[in-house]
Amino acid sequence: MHELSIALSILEIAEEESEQRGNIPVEAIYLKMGDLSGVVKEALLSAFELAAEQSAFPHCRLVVEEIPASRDLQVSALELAQ
Amino acid sequence: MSSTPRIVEVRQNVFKRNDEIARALRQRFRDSGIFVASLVSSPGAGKTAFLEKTLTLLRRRHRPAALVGDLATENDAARLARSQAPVKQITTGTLCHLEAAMVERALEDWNLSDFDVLFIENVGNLVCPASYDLGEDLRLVLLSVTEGEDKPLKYPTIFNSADVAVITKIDLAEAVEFDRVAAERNIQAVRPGMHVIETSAKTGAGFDQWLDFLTTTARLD
Repeated sequence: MHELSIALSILEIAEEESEQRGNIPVEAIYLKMGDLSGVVKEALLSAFELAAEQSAFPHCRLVVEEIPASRDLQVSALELAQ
Repeated sequence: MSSTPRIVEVRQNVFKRNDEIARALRQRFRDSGIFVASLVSSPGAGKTAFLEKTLTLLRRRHRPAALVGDLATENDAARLARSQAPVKQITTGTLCHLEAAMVERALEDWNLSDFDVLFIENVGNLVCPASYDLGEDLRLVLLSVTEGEDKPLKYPTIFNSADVAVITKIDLAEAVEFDRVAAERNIQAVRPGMHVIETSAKTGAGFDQWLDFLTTTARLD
C-alpha cells in the first residue's frame, strides 16, 4: 500500500504550485495515471481523501485520467479557486 | 475579476522528489566507483539466502556491502552479516517499499569508496517497489520455483521495471513440478529479452553464472 505516500506527494505538488501563485486554494488536481505505474486507482482515491483532509485543501478533488501502456504518474493540471 | 486562469497546467511527475534523490545517489555511486544492484521479490522468494550466498562468494575477491529493507526486525541483517560483509538494516515501519531518501539516510555513515558493489534488498513486495528508483544500476527480480510460473503475468509492472530475472530454489524444481519453459515464456512475454538466471542458494547451482554476469556487468575484476 504505497498509495498514501503517493497521495501526499500529489498534494505536495499542488501546495507548491499554489504557493507560487499567491496561495490560491486548489479545488481539483488532475492526474494522468499510466496503467503500468503500479498504482491502484481506487486505493489512491481513498488515500487521497484521507490525505487531503490534513492538507491545505481539505475539499480538494482528485480527477484521475488513466493512460494505457504508460508508466507515468503526472499531475497534469490544477483547478484553482478563482 | 482576476485574470488568473481557472485551470493551470502543471505537468509534474509525482515521483519527482524520489527521482531527484535517486539521480543524486546514482551520481554519487558513479563518482565513488561503486556498482549498485537492488533485489525485489515477493516475501519468502529467497532474497536473503541469495544475497548471503552472493556476499560470501564475492567477499573472496571484492568489497561488497548490503542494505536490507523490512517492515520490522533486524533478522535479515543478522543473517547477511554471517557473510562478514558490512550490512545495514532499514526498517520501514509500515511502508511496503524502500524510497531513495531511505537509502540516502542509511548510507550516511558509510564511506562508499570502501566498497565496490552495494546490494539493496527491497521489502518483500511485487507491487510498490516498482515505482521507486533507488539509484541502482541493476534491478533483479527474484522468482522462486514454488511460487508458480505465472508470477510475471500477474505482476507485469515489477518484472518490467527489472533488468534481470533470477529463478531461485531451483533445487526444488522437480519436487514442485516447476515448468521452466512456461516460466521463461511468461517472463519474455512481459519483458522481452530479459536475462534469466536459475540459482539455488542451497546447492550453489547457477552462482558461477550469476557472479560472472555481475562481475562483467559491474566491470569488477
